[in-house]
Amino acid sequence: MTGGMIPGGWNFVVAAYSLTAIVLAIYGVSVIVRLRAEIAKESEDR
Amino acid sequence: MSVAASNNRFPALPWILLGLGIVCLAIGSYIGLFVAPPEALMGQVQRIMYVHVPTAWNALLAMTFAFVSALVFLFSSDWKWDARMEAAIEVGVVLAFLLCCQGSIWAKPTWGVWWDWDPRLTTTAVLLFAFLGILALRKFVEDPARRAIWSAVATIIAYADVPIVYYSVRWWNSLHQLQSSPATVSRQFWLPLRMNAFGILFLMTGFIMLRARVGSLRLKHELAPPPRAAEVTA
Repeated sequence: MTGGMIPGGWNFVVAAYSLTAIVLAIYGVSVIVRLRAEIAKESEDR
Repeated sequence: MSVAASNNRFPALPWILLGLGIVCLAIGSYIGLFVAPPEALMGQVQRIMYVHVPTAWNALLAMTFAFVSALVFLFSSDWKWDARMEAAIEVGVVLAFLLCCQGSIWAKPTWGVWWDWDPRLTTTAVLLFAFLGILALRKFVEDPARRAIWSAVATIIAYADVPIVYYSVRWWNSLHQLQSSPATVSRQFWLPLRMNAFGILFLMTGFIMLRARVGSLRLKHELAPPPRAAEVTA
């Protein structure tokens, strides 16, 4: 008996935290890459 | 002031915000995962709340900033607000996507299904696809003026879904629980919830600032007058 508490569940917790970290990291890298590309393009135009 | 310079007044600020965001998220997640006790009914699964709820708040906040930017652009025709709107929509879409995935992961052990056409989930999915559609619209329209006006109007229309998402759990009979906030959860759960909320807020603000700078630099390039014939042949 678990007293009504959902047993286990750590795998779901790890999945949610890992997904959050991965998505935020990938998005952060994509923004930085695009910013560097735009800055490089701007300096080429000058 | 040029379009690019107007969104780069504090060049170090986004990096400071990103650093602060990472530190807050690391501390909040550590407390949420290893210090806070399991919840009485949901057990360990409830720890997903410490990332899910802050993601929800900040997704709606990003979309609110996109809505405000759209209004300011339409009234002022100031291009920096177009770049800010685009940045806020993009960050809002990333957070809304994350929100749906985290919710789905939480739904499986608690509701027994990955997805349900429940009012909260359905209105959130509509919000995600509406703002994704605006990003697609911006991609396909080449004329900067048309693109800015059309996407600003579309943002204002799509924003109508934000209060519906927020109140859906009160207006309809929903599987989803009522909104969680520091006022509705036990004191033991406050700290990780608040730390992660500030962490994602700092990250979101830093991302919006950097992404607005990308948009401004692109606009500067697009709005630059074409080179004169003498310059082209030279």
